[in-house]
Amino acid sequence: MVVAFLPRLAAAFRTAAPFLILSFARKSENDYMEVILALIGVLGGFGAISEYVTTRFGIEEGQLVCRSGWLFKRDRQIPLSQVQNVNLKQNLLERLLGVTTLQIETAGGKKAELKLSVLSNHTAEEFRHELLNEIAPAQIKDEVTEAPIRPPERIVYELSPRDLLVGGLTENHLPKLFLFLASVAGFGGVIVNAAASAASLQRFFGPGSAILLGLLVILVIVVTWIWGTAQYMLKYGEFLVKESGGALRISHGILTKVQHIVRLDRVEYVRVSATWLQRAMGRANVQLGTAGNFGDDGLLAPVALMVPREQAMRILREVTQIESPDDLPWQAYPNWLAPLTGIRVLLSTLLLTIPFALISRLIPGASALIIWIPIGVAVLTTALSVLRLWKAGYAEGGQTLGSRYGFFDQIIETIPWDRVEFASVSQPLFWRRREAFHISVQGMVRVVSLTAVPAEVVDRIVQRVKTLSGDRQAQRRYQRERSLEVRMAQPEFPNA
Amino acid sequence: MPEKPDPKVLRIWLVSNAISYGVVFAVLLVLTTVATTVGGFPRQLLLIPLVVLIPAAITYLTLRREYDAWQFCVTPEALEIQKGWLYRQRRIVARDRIQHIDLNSGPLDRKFGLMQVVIHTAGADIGFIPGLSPARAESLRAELLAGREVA
Repeated sequence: MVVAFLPRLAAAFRTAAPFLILSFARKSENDYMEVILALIGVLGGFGAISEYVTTRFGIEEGQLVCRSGWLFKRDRQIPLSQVQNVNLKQNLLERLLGVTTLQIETAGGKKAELKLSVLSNHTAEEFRHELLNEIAPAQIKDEVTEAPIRPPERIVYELSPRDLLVGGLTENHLPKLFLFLASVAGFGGVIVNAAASAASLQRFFGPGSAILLGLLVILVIVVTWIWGTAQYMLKYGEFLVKESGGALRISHGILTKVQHIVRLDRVEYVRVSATWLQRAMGRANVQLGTAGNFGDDGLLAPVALMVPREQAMRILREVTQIESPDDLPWQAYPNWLAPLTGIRVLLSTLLLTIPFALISRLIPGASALIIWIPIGVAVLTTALSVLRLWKAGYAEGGQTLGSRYGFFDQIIETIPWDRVEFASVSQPLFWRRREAFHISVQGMVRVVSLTAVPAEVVDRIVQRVKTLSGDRQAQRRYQRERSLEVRMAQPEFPNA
Repeated sequence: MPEKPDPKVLRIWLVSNAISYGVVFAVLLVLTTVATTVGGFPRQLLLIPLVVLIPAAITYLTLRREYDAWQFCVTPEALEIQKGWLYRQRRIVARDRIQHIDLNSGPLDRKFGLMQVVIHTAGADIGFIPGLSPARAESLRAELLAGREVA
């Protein structure tokens, strides 16, 4: 194992520094606190180094083994069959030093099951390689030497620089804008002082201030958009997806480099999404979900960004080897759904927010206009929820169940039947007369929900979920067949 | 054959609901009393704790119907749980997707000699069946986990 000591030293320093600083700060007071603090700091720093020095990891008999610790020993074993994803991550510092952080993810749990930081690039690649080798359900071996045959990887998708820029520009950065405004202004302050500040603004700008205010708003939007686009481009620059050996390798990032290795037999969720601008251009984004959560990078792994819709479907068909959303027989939800949902959302948000407004009016000096805030919030959420369901629908396919929703930003999600764990059906009071049901079908982590479907569709889905046991045999056969084509991946980092 | 929880579970629900609403009521009462006496807020604030009584009353009145709606059913291939009177719910899980099953009994359950059966799949727990006698809970677990020679 190549030693990369410096970053660990930095970590040790980070642990020790606060205590040492505190220790110095307390020097004037005449107790032994500073000595104790300094001791804690030094020990903490030492602990950080010792954890690195003592960590040993490897693969033993189908188990991933990691032992670490000096005073407190930890021995962790993860069966390789449980591994969902493997992530490799390099931030700028790590890249300069030629080291990598490797995360192993299993099902469930919010964090990575195992995180190995400060591996040399070479070790990380080798380890990933070994891991994939073990994970692959069956291998093609050379008949003479018994060594696994390693044909080159196949490129599934590569994002061109132009699409990268357009993708960044057409992303929806409005939530970012909202967050930005909220954090700048202090959201609570805005609510209480909105009326007062509007008045003072008017005094400040004088007549014609509306134009100035409008320009200011436009400026803020433009800046947020540029900022969001820059972030998108840094994150998804050099986006490249390769496939081999039943696993996808997704790498992206300009400053921080990220690689996800996704086992295709663990994919339990597919999402095709597009903002309204992207839809107008005929483009879409494809993401896959497993029971892991892909580090801190988001919960889904992108497979194609800003790709023409046709091509998106083709990639999905090829990669998952099952039907794509465009192959599904889509059904629209009944007409009454959107308006009825709107009424329900309106009533419930009003019911929730009005008491708060009434209470806050009791605060001395509160503006009487405060009552308009809950009404505004209610109208906005109602409009959004109605639009969300406007063109929504569902589809029962032979291999997957699909749901689609969203007005501006459209989302299509599907779950393969053979990854379903259970279904849950419910019926809100409003819908009893209409004989419609809500059904959500759940994998290990991902859920696909159908909002309002008739009883016979529920019966069909339930029947399907019930007989999953029988499907298992077929499913395993299918996996075996696919594994015959399994091939090995090759190291990718240039300096490996 | 659909089965139902033991009728004694009604009394458990009654007691546990009384306790939880009681706690919320007490906390609100203390907060509003402090706010009105020390904080100088208007006395009308003292009415707020009474609001808790509305959901409490609704829960009390619907408990019987909620119980009537509760049922579960073990078939050769699946487990099905059905509950809810106002808001009807149904959960269906194929038997071989069940990973493990917990038998829980809190202090209230023990007082009435009952147990809860909690069913877990690989990702999440799909729900629980309340109010089973220990014998039935054990047999249910054995029944659900049996016959999984398909490893």
